[in-house]
Amino acid sequence: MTAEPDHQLLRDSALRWVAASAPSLDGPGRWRAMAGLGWLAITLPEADGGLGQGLAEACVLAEALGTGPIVEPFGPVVLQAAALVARRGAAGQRARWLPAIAEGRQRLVPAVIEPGGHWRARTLRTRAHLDGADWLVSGTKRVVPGGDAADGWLVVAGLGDDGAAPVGFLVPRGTPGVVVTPYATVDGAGACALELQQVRLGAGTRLADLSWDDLDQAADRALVAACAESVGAMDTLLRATVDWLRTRVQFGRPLAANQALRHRVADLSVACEESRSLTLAAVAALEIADRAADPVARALAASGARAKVGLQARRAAEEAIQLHGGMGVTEEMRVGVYLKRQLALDAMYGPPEWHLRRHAQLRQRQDVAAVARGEPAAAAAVPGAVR
Amino acid sequence: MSLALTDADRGFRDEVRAFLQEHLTPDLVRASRLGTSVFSEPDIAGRWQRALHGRGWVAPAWPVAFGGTGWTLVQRWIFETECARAGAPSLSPLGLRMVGPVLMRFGTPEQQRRYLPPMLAGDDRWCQGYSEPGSGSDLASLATRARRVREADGTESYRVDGTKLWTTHAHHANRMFALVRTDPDAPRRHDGISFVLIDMTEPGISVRPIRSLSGDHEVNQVFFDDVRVPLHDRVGDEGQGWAIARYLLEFERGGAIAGGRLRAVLGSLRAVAVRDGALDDPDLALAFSVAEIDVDAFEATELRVTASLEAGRNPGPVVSSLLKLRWSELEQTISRLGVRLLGPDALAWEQERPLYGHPATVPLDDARRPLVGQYLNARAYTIFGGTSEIQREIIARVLLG
Repeated sequence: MTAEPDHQLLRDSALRWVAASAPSLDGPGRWRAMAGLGWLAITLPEADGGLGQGLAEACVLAEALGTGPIVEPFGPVVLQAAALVARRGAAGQRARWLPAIAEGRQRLVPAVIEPGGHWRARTLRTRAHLDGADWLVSGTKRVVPGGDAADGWLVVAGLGDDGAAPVGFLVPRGTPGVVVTPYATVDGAGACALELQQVRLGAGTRLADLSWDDLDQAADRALVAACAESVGAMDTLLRATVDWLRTRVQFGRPLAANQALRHRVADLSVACEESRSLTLAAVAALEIADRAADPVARALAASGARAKVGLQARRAAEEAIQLHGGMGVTEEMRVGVYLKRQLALDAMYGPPEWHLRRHAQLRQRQDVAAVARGEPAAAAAVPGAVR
Repeated sequence: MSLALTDADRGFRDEVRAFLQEHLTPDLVRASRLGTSVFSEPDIAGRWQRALHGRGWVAPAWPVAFGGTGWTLVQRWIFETECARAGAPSLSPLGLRMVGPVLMRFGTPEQQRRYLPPMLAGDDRWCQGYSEPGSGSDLASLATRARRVREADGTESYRVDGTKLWTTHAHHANRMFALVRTDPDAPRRHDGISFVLIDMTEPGISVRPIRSLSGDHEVNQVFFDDVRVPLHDRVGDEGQGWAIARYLLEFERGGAIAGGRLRAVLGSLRAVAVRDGALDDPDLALAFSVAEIDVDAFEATELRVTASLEAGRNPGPVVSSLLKLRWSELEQTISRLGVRLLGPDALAWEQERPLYGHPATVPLDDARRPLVGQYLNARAYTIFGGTSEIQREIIARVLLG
């Protein structure tokens, strides 16, 4: 076992940028600046113009983004769409998209979630049929985070009439038949809905061999980055709340003198530390699971982390508002923006309750498999931090 | 943070596993798993301590010079985790993890020579004289009095009068470390406290058993009536007791490596649940997931602390309170799962303790017999060693002043 490698330089510069430079920039300016800092290239392969770093480094950035919060679509673009192109894209597709994404010139986001669907749906109403050498794609995508300002969408459809297998297309903005309805999101960012009506796509837009597991892997990595982002948010909320309680005077003494409030701050701090630990463990567990090609271990670690961290982050934001009193519910005080961001993350990646259920179902599947192998159920791997 | 074990770590783990395979007998495991109280019973813990002593593995955290193992923190973590997984009894921390480190830090060479070897061998059994009837969370208000007197033989000693409460295993102990008031007139009450070692076989000591709601007899009230304590059994200076007590409390709260045990206990419960098909109840399945994720988070926190200590860094002032707080809450969460798992069988009550020493009087197997007792006993975890409220206050003081 080795100690936490020092991401201190990366961490410090990221936090400094979020605190000092980002606030004066508009959305496109922030995206350009993030590209300039190399953040959009961080996990892309070096051969594709990336920096070849891992999830750990991406999570350092995500944590810094959480302190802002900076709500630009780092996860959807970098950890999902670009990662999927890097994994499954043909040479031409990689050359077309990846350097442009890394340099911040183009944004590609996944378009998966449909009306009435959920985050990891295995049947999609959007369908793709071969028509000669081309594909015809029809369907509706309703929740496309970052889709409003995207230059392209990674549209995932079901293949053929039964739709059991996924098929992915890199659809540039302006493709005939694609109707884009942009909308604002609760966290101050943007998203869009997509309506595809018999959209004709050339074979060159299709990502070959895209599997459900590819999509899950990318989503699980983005989920862990969302945990890291939430840790950054909780840290900030804790500091803001501590400052407020120390300075706000009522009944002739600082609020910090009241034990009922002191203990709630202590609980916030505990939640913060535990969330940080669990996120770090999930990063390590995902790396190990990917090396071992163990999708169940990966999913358990990611969903397990989000089940707890997401819940703690939402509670922390609610508590911070309560402890700030009347000022907490104002836009001016800015504690509320972290709650809105948690709502957005829950909508984008699934709420903690949903991930807890996924965790429980996967564990039961492990139990069944262990019993079938004649092993005691408990020997089935709990997704521990250490293997 | 990379939490994957190195090859050397894996080799060490295999060595520990081989030792456990050879020395941890099934009856020890059974007795340990049937335990309902905080510490394993002295006969069980004693047998296991002698086995470990034979290998030099009793005190992983001690420096080699005092008979420790010289292990890295990571090796200690592996050792504790493997022992927990195998179901080994827990050794009493009162000597090894509490007064032991105090003697190494504050004791004279003579005290170290006299007390540390029998502590390692398990020949001395220690208890802790801290709380009193009027002094719980407000420990510094303690009133047990130690007066300096000139004995008939011309030597100087203390004479101790008063009473100590919640004294775990006082009825098994031949030694006590205690906080006593040597100067009732000190301007600051903390400065009037000294740390002394008391021979439990001295005349004037009586031990009254207290049976806890879990049916266990583990705690006691101890009375002192003019009990002689030689001056050389005071640790540190007169009036330094409070500083020593705080040093000790950090070990009591943060010195354990507990994640492995939590995971092992939860794993055993899950095995029972799967065997019974109890996890077909989706609520129970969710509750197990919540507990498992909580254990993941706790273990990851312990590992972060371990890794940061390894690199020579300070884990921060909040950590020992945080670990005590979450560990105790998790013990309670898991033991509550055990009761849920029993369903209607939670009605049955074993009256005799220890369970391994008595045949079952209720229609439950060994996996189920201790669960209600364990749940009830775990109520004490958020109270002893500083209540959860005190831990929260310690954390809040760091943050809020």
